[in-house]
Amino acid sequence: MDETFRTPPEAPLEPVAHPYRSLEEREQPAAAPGEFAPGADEPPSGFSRRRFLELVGVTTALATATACSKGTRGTIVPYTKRPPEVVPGVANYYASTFQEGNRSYSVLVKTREGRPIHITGNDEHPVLKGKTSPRAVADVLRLYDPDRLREARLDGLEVPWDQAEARLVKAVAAAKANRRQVLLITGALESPTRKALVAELGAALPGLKHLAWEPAGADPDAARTSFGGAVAMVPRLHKAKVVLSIGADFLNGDDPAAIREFAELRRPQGPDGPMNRLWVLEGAMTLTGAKADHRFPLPPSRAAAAAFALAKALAENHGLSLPEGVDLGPIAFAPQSFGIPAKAWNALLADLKSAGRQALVLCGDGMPAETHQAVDLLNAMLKAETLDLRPTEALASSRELDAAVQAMTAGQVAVVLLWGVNPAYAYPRAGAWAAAMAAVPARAWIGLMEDESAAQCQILLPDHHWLEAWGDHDGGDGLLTLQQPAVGALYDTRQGEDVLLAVLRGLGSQAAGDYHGYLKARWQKEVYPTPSLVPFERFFQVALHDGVVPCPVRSSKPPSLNGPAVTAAARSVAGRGAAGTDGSFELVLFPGAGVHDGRYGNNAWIQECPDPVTKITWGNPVSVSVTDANRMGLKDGDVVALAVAGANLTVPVLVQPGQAPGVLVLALGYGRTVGTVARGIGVNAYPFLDPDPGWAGLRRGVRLTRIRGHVELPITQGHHRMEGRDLVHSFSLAQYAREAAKPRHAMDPASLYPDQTFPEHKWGMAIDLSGCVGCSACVLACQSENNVPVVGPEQVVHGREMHWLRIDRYYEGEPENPKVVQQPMLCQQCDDAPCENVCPVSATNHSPDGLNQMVYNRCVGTRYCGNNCPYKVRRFNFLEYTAPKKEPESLVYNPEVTVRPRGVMEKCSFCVQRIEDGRVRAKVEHRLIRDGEITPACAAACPAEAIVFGDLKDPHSRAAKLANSNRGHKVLEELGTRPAITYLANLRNPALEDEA
Amino acid sequence: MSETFAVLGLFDSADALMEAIPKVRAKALGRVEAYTPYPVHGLDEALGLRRSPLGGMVLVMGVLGVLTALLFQWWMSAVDYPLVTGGKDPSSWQAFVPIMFEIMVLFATFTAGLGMLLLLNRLPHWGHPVLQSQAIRGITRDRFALAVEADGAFDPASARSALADAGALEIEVLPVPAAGPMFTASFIQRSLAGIAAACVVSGSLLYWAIKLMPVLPPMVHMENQPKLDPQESSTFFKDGHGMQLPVAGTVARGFLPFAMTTPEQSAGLVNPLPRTPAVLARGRAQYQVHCAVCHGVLGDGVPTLTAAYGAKPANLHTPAIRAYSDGTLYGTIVLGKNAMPSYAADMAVDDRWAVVHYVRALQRALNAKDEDVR
Amino acid sequence: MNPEASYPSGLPQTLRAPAMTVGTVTPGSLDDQVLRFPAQAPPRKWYLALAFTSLVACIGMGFIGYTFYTGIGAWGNNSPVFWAFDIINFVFWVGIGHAGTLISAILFVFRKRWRNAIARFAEAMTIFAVMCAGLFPLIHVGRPWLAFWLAPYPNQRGLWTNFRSPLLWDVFAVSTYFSVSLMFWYLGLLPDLASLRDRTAPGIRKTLYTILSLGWRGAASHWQHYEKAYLLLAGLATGLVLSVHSVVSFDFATSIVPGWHMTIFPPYFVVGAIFAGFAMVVMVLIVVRESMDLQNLITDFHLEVMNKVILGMSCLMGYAYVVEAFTAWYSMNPILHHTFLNYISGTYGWAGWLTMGCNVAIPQLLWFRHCRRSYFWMILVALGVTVGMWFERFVIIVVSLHQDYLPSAWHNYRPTLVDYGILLDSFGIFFSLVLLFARVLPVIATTELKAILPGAQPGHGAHHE
Repeated sequence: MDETFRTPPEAPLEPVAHPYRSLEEREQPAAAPGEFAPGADEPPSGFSRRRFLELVGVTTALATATACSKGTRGTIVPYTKRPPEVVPGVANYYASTFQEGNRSYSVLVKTREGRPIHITGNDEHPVLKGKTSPRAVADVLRLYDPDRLREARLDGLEVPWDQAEARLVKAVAAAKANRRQVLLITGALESPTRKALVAELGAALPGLKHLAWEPAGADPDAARTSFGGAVAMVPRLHKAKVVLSIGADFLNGDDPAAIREFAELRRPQGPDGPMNRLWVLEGAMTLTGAKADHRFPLPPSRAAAAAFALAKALAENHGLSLPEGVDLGPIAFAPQSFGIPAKAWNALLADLKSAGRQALVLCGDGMPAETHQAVDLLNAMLKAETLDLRPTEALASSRELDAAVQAMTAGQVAVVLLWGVNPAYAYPRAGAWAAAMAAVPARAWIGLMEDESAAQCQILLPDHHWLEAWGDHDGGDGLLTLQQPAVGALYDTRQGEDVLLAVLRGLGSQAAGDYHGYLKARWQKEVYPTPSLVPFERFFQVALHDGVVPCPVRSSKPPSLNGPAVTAAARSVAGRGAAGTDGSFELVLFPGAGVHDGRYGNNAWIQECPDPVTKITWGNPVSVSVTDANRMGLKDGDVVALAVAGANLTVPVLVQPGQAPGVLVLALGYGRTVGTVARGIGVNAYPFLDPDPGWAGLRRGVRLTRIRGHVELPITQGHHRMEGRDLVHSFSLAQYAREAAKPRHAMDPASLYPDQTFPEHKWGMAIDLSGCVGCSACVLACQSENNVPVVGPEQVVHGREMHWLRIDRYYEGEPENPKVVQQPMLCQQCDDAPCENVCPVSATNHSPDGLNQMVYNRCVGTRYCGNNCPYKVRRFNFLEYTAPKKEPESLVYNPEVTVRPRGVMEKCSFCVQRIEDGRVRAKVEHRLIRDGEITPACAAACPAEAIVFGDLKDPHSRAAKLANSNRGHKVLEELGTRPAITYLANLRNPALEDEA
Repeated sequence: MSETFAVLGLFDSADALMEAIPKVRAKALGRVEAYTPYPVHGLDEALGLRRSPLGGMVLVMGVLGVLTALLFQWWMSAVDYPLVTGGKDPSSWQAFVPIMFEIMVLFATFTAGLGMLLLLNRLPHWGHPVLQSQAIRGITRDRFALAVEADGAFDPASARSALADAGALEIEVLPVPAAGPMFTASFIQRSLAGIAAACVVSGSLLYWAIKLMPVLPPMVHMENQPKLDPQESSTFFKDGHGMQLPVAGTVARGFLPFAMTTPEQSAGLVNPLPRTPAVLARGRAQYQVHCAVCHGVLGDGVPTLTAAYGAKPANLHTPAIRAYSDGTLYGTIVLGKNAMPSYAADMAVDDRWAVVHYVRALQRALNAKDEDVR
Repeated sequence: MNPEASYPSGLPQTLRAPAMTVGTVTPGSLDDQVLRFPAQAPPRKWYLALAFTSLVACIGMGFIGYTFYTGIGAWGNNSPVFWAFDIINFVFWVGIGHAGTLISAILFVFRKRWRNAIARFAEAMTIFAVMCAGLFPLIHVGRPWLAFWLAPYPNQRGLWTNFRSPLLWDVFAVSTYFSVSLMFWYLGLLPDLASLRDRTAPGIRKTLYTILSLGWRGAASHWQHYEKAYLLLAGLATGLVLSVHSVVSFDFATSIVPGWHMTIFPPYFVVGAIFAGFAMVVMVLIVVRESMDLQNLITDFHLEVMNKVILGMSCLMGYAYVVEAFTAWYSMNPILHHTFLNYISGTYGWAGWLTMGCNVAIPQLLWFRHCRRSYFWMILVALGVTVGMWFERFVIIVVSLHQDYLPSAWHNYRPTLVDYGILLDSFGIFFSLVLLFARVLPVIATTELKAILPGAQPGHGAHHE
């Protein structure tokens, strides 16, 4: 009896010191004030009627709770005072901004009861149009990462924030007093207000040396050389008729706008276009190359030569004029020397010439500087209107960092403050860095989770995750985007800007109390249009509501090309012969598709999301071209040693079709030494970065030697050919014309049974393979929306990955330079689903609106449905993947989707929770469901808008129209499964028909 | 000497037995029965046994099995809980055939086996006199016995002689067992009753097991989810609430906060809703839910509930309040006034404006002018 | 007069051909020889054997427990190979069972008298094999504690099972098969239990036999119904045995996996089952015959006949393989073509060749009379067939699944230690049960044998009266 009294009955209403959260906890009331709740131990005499009734009530309630055998659900804890915008069980959306390097993405954060659970693009943003990068989608997981630093540390000890902060302020003040240098290393600032803050700090602190350093970013010097200043080149792909990519992977998902604009021109209404054409010269195999109409493997070291050769040919044979000061005299290369047939070469020249201002040449960030100069030259010659040159923030080149390291080592630096950067891991010469740090007396660190660099610092100041922080960002295109917290700080953290403000105050300036205030103050000064009828508060609220505000762009005349610099580059290129003759390789280093420069290494979603091209998860094997692999007898998983001056690695091999011979490709951002998830996954490739920033992304003279050992690579797709099966349709425009002419016969095998009827709706999907570039945003969005578990590398090797939506990637043609098709593969929601027949307990059956639904808690796990699914999109929980998840990890789960335990089959549900949500909203508003109102997570995330969901019974719905397109095709239709998903054939637009 | 049950003659070969049977039967001393270690061909004709009815029984039960299976499957899948799988009509019969066949075989075999033992042969019968005889060891080994069983006026002596004439090697007279040996009929009945009782008990136990099992681990049905549902408590957040408050100053999509800070500022707002019966009805409903408890059903400030707390809610018919603009009233609802809290969270925008209309109606009703009457 | 007299020794062979028994066998001597085993204390080697098999069984149970604890992930199964050892073993054991029913039912219907000597043992093996088979569907499900949901019992959720699922047909077929075999076995056992009852001294065992024999007294009127019932059961069981493995084959034939979706599967599976079952029976009988000195009752003739059956079945299997391959080729379906090429040339090509070698090539030895009569050769063949038939299921299940429709989803399969452990476990259980049976019940159907001894029936031995 007594234990039922152990809680104050009003615990749920007003949080008291120690309310219990579950019956277990009630069993051992660790910090209960007394044995009994107030009143429970009073003698009956002192019993008021109300108290008595209270206790009776509580007793009954708890008795009921304990009596119920599954009563471990804890107590009901409602809002004490419900905020107007939150209705329990209904999602809220907050416009905010996700920043990565010098890019920022305006996003919508979906929260449930004030808890972020899902991220999509901000539909108010005129350029991004509701799309965002895959990493932004996945980064919600990092918010709940248990590895986050939860309190301030001083010399390894947990201390109150103010104490740690004070130590930093003191050190800085001292440095100012003794005129010593203070080194502040941050990532790209990107945010106007943050820039202003740092500038203010610089003004208040003469000795401040600020480096905005992105370890895996482009080499800022390249642009400086061409244009004499930091310039951002923003492609305008919706204007580009002909695109030539020289090692530029602009379709890898980092730039959703680029994908959308590109895809717009890949989906012609009919065989007669309009459709853009993509030429690609690249060493690695990238998503862009996969989408190319003509692709030529070319070692990056030869790219500059090719580009200059093109420029010269355009100037001499096609009457394009060279900018003044440019002389390509010494350039004399035959196209054959680039492995490009003369025919194709001339076609390319003709294309560029005819497209004129609608042509666009793009150069990969990681390409050597000279290549950038060559490409800038080409664009200048074409006077491309498809490229915006915009002055941008000057990032620190690796030279500046080297200089800083020398200064530190020399003991000139009194204080070093690292904010969101991890040089101890990402600086190529880790030893030198460690020595330099040792020479600095005061070392402070601001970051999310303790990383390699934090280990070298005394003052650790835990940062907010961006979902907890305020800020503003330069959205480009004359847009400012705002960042507002979607949840209060989970731990005892402060956002980095607040620390800088504290330092400012410590230096005696009158800075605002917190960054929120500072931000609003600056906006009132700079952004708020005066005079205005709207009060600023209102203006700011609206800005937060939309997340994006237009702001007048200071029109600056487009920077002009620096001719002499280009000429110089051309000379050096001409002087150099073909590389790699000595049997050594050139190593392409690029930021990992998921982990980027390593900052997302601890994000399990990202680690398990297959690399879009290699389909590798959990690691970074080195890619070898097919030619070299055959020559050296290398197979997937063979271990090799890479060696170059000052660095060597042992790493497994992955044979990559389409990769240029003599080229190796290795992703940066792996081989972290801290982080529960990241530790020991892959190898750290930073030591291989070339000390010359001009060649940072490309290391020449790398030796590769086979050593003993073989590992099983965690690849999600082990077979890359279609085996001549009719799975993906891919046409050239000409073929498309022929196909479209043919009459389409609907394949409808005879059946013993009458067709089933769908009274109300019949949900279906159309996926346009011509739009799909395979960026995998859909995969991550699905994972986040549907609580898809992560299984880890061993299970992936076993073939037990759980993704409901995977992207099948097939190679066609000769492996040296194959054509590539992508096919998002998810449950086809077949009308006559083979999986349903064979389930002995009817755990999977068909809904009246055409969904192949899966009843998890009826499933006993015979796995027969999995065998009988020809698309193999059913996933089985072979082990307990989800139950071990505890808070905070489990906070990311979508409350609307059941979390599946072991022994249960699961699969794509067309986001049935969203369908139901839409149905209910329509019902409440007494209307029919609007077309496009319901979008599954994958469709919402797809930057190319290649996935369209809708009601196939409504002939006017977009999905139905597309499903009837003459490009439409259903996978394995001949089996009579009657899939609800129609794939629209992939289209190519080759200049030469025989290339089709 | 107790009464005779039968006289038993032993033979050492099937042939001897077959030769003896007609001779003994000719004398018609009583019912003649043979006991053999294995089935001997032609014995039933010799003894004049009628054909076994087993075949018919099996046929009937087999057909019954087919029908039962068909009926059950159809009822379960088409009537009681129809589900569409693989686009097939729930009542389609094609897939029921295999199970119909199996059930047919099941019914038929058990009829054949158990019907033969229990019905036709009246087994188990542990108390039969022959089992007590000396001869039985021979019978189940390699001897053949011919029995003349007593019925009506029975003369053991003549039976003996008859068997002797027929060439029996040994002759044994079986008395009707006197004291019930171990396995009497009554014992069997009792034990059968016991078994029946055990079945009932275990049956009911099983029933409860089936009722209980679904709720005992490991019979979990995913009701305990790691995900955090609304109104759940949390061990993670310091306040123990799974539901967190939005950060101050943030603006959720579609929830732009009310621009004004005092009702007076909102005086300028105009009521966007038309004054239609529908709107007034809506306003009335909302008013009675949210406002009437304090301001009274008539809006005269005579509280229905809050009097106990000595609250002094406003009388909406005072000239001052009647002079309020719609905007001011709206602002009051949104922001609250004096002791009155904000109702922003509880009333949708249109509801608030509808209530404003309704309050206006109330005010006019209670302060009607003559022309209103006219 | 003494019954032995009616069977003078040195009777011309011709009168006893085919040799159902060797030497002088009378009903009495038969009882003395066969029914003595339950009474005797088993020899040491029996204890050793039982200890070994039950140890294996226990270890295997440990592996099963481990699987319950961790989940199916303890096995090598993956996507797309959702089924592997679990279902292979199930099909394998159900198949083993079929020989028993064939011998006891079909051969009875065809009045093959040589069946009588071996029927009892074969039937027992049927029952044990089906027990082993039944184990696997239960443990292979992801949430085994809910396996009882496969039964359509009235429940508070108001849910029923899906009668369109071949798995559910399995549930009914296998459970029916088990109960019918049990009934059949028991009926045959009844008269033998009676004679055991009358041969054992009073005591616990006698009471047991008394109760089990239901007071059977060999009355002519009983025999009449008994024989009728036995004939009916045999007829029904014949239909059943053909249906059961057909239904098992429906698990594959009615699904759409290339290599499974084959109309030939039902007969092909039945033949394969009898094939494997006979091999197992031959192996076990040889051991029994030698260890229990039953050479005079289980004669070379019996072994030879069974070997002939094996040979015949082997040829049928070969035919089935050819027809299957032809169907695949003739279908002009590239996906099916790939699957069949994959059987013999893919990652697991060796399994395909092993299957055909063991099931088709090796048994051809039995064309030679010498091989049909020599233990070495027949055990070699029997072992080969057992291995071959297990791998045939491996090829059908694993090799078909691991490369089906979408090449993107192809994945190889590698069994784990647990898989092997559970496979051995089933053998341990099976042989433990066989050993126990051999010592507590008559291993030969004495009554049935008595009935076919020379002179047993009126008119047969009349001439030497």
